[in-house]
Amino acid sequence: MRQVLRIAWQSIKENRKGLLGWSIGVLALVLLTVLFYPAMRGQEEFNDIMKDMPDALKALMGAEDLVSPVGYLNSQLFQMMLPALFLIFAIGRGGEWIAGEERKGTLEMLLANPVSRARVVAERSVALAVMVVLLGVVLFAGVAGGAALVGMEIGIYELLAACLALTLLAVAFGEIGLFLGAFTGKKSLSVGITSAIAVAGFLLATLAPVVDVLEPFEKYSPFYYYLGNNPLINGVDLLHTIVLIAIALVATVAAAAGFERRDLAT
Amino acid sequence: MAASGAEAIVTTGLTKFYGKNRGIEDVSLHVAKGEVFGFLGPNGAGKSTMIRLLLDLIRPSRGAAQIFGRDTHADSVAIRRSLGYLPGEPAWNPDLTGAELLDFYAGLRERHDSSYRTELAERLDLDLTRRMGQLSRGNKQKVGLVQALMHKPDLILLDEPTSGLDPLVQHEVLTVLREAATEGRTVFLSSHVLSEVEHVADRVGIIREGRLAVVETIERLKSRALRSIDIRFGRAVPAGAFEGLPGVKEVTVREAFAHFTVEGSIDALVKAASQFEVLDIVSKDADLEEIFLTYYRNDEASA
Repeated sequence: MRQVLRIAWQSIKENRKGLLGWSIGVLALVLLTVLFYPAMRGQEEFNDIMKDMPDALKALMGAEDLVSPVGYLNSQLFQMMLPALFLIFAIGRGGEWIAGEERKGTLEMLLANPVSRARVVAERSVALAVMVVLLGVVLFAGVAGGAALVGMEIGIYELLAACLALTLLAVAFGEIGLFLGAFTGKKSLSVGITSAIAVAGFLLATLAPVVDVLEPFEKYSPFYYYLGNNPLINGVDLLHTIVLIAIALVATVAAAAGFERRDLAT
Repeated sequence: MAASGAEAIVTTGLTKFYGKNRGIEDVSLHVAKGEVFGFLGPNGAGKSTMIRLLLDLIRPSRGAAQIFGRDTHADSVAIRRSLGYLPGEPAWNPDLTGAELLDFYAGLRERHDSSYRTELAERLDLDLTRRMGQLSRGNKQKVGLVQALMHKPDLILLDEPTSGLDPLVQHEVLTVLREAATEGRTVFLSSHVLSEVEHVADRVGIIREGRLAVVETIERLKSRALRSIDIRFGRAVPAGAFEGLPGVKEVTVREAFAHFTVEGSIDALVKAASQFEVLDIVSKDADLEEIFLTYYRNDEASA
């Protein structure tokens, strides 16, 4: 297996320090947030403040309820903070691994070996997914551990579902970044466009329930398949999970095709 | 052509444009197996374009190329199994040691001889335990050479292989390449320094502004070369005595001293000089650099 996935393995190995740094960052963020929860518990007046907010603002912040365990975790972490972190990580890797390395010249050295471009794309897609999954495992462990420490009542299965959905969302965006990098050969373009798609998708999915004109387009946002079902309450939505995996797979296949057709930049 | 089996590289009308910019134009070239072929030209003439086309890193605008009878695009992965490549400016992750990097590449190939890798590193005086980021330009170049040679590929493509190396190491690299050719492997190396390939190449191709200006054996090139001859006579000689001699391009006579520029054989000149008392003859050997310029001048004159 390691022989077959040598490029994926090497890519992860070369990025292990970066992954470690991100893991520490995510862990610190979720632990601090969760350990702060006892101060929020029972403070129902926070929810009273929220009641007077405009619907759009409530939608953006992720919850009308800031005080229950699920409401707290959603509004403080899963709504905006964690997707932002996970997507920045994944989109950065996606842009770097074809377009970034192409610019540096290291991709040319790899392609002097008997490996097809499709194999390079496929293995780097796998490496990207593995790294995001590892970050997702750290996230799950951090929230579960922190919740246990402060006695926050949260369903483990539902937490797992939320971490899985977030991981798949980030993988999907990472592969879109990989595709744009492979297609254009330009890292900054890839990262820029993918980030713009992410921000637009976030706004679309969160505002659609409260803005009538956006509502019919809700399902065009990848974020809908992450938060639309509220996995912290409802657990895994099979259809949504399949959609996110499909986005990642289609982006990977498109990346291989886009990379194959063009000249490698100097 | 594929059937002949004796050709390492065959290109037919190979052309590459980058948008409107010229890479190479209409290059048709044969390189035989076991040959050391020097691909010469000034910077920007299209040397790297040629090598990157052979590797399928870039695709031709027109024409095609075959390596060992296989199409360079359709059979690229199979071709790269038996190929070693050193780009003009090799780049690697600065955090990796030379050994880590070479282990990774070796793992991507079935054919790999780690004892030869060790031998190469020793002969080039290269420390593989240091990180790429700590290495000088020359040492990075050495890692690139080991990387291109360690699996004993049938075809070695090198873009300016000895740039950045000190003369002793340069010499060792050329020796290694010569050995590879002796073992029947083919070497295709580019250079803008003619003296670099003079002692290692069997044939050279000179590329100028994207077009292959000339392909010759080193011997033929030298025989066409201009050489400069100074003769000191016993007494003043008439300039007319040397006018119109075959091969003599230029005559300058000042009293008993004469300077000649001769193409090819100096036989006629020596016989003509022998009718006078000759005190001294100084002959400066043909320099490939001058040949290079001669070809360029001829080309410009005809254009």
